[in-house]
Amino acid sequence: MSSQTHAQSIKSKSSTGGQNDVLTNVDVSPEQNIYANILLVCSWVGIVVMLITFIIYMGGLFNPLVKPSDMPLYWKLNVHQYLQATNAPSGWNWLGLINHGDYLNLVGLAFLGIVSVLGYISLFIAYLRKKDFPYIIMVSLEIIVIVLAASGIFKVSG
Amino acid sequence: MIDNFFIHASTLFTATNVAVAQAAGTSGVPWWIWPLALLVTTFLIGIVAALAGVGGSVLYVPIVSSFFPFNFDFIRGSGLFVALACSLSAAPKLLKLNLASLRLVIPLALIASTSSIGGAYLGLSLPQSILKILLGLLITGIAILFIFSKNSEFPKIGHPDALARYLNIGGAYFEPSSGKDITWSVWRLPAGLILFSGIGIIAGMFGIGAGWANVPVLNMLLGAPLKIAVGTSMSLLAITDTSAAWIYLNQGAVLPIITIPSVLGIMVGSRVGVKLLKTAKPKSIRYIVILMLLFAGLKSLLAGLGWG
Repeated sequence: MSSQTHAQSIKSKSSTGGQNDVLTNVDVSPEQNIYANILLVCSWVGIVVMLITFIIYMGGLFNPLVKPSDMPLYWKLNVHQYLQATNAPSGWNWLGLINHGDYLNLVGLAFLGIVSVLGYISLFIAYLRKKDFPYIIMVSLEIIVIVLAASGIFKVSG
Repeated sequence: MIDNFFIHASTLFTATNVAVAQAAGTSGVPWWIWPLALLVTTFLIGIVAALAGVGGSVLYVPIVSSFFPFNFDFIRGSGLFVALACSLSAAPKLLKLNLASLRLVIPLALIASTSSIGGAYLGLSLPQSILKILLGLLITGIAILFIFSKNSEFPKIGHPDALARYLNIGGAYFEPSSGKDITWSVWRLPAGLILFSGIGIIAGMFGIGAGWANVPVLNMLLGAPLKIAVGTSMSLLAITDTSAAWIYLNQGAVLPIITIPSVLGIMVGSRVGVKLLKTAKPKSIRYIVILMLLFAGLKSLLAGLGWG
């Protein structure tokens, strides 16, 4: 057993020079910096969009299909009952209803859900340039997983 | 002063929840009280969570399901967005300080986010009484974990395993308390990957961020220094919870009137909490969080059993 710092020195002896640069450099890697910047900017954009659309909805603007004042009738129902009671769309069909205040709200939430994908696309490009194949594969798989989850092809029967 | 503030905040928190619980049984309550009460409650949860060093959604899901009239499906859907928003707001700074390592995040997130889809399916398929019983047991277990777990600031590790070496996982960060650069690596990565698949299922199933499980696994099993474990865990959640959040969103289990006040309240609250952190006493706050978790866990268990 050894301390973290010591363990690193053991490892460094058996590592290549390139690996040492990655492991012992306190500077943040360029790809990590870009990824962090994407998360920072996009999360703020998402929050601002959510705030604006929520104010619109609470103000009763944009003709919501289910008014906020009617929500107490529905929020006690489980999701399957709610979908039946309100004829709410599933999957991405809500996009066709964003002219209504309630569905407009989903834009900000959906945007938060794609922030990680945007960050991962930047990582994919960075690892491709570095020819870091294990990470190219893992980043690609992660993008596929999130896109599949977001696609709406997975459905839970009621 | 901070202690006084915290006592006032705890009193306000209790009073809010009692009022909310009473209002839940009253049909004449104006509809707008609920999003407003949710905003206040999540603001306070955000403060407490930041002071205690726990993710907001681990408190959010059991507390909101105990005191608000919303269906458990919508609370879990909101919980994932709460965890996602908290992670997105904290991760950039941690990544820029090198207190989170993307080389460690990427393999763990791939496993956890994939399994969280399965967890979301389970959560949306199982009867709510079963889910509430399981959540009650889980939250009570987390409270016990908080009591007995002893994280190590700089854990001792052996030789990094072959997979960690192949993926070149490790790094260095500046430690202000010692004025030195700390280099680190991990070991037992394959075992960590297996545990993260279980963590992903739990996160997706109950809509709770999994920081309470990520940090002990990263710190005690993989041997990452505590600061790296916390930073990496926070960065992981942005990816783990995204997959499950999409399943809930596509299924219609995300109601903006519940989710948006929750996300906004907890984000503002956690920022206030971080500012108070400089002068607060984390230990006493941690005990309060443990009590809150025990209470919420038992309440969920009783509700699941039909006794609550």
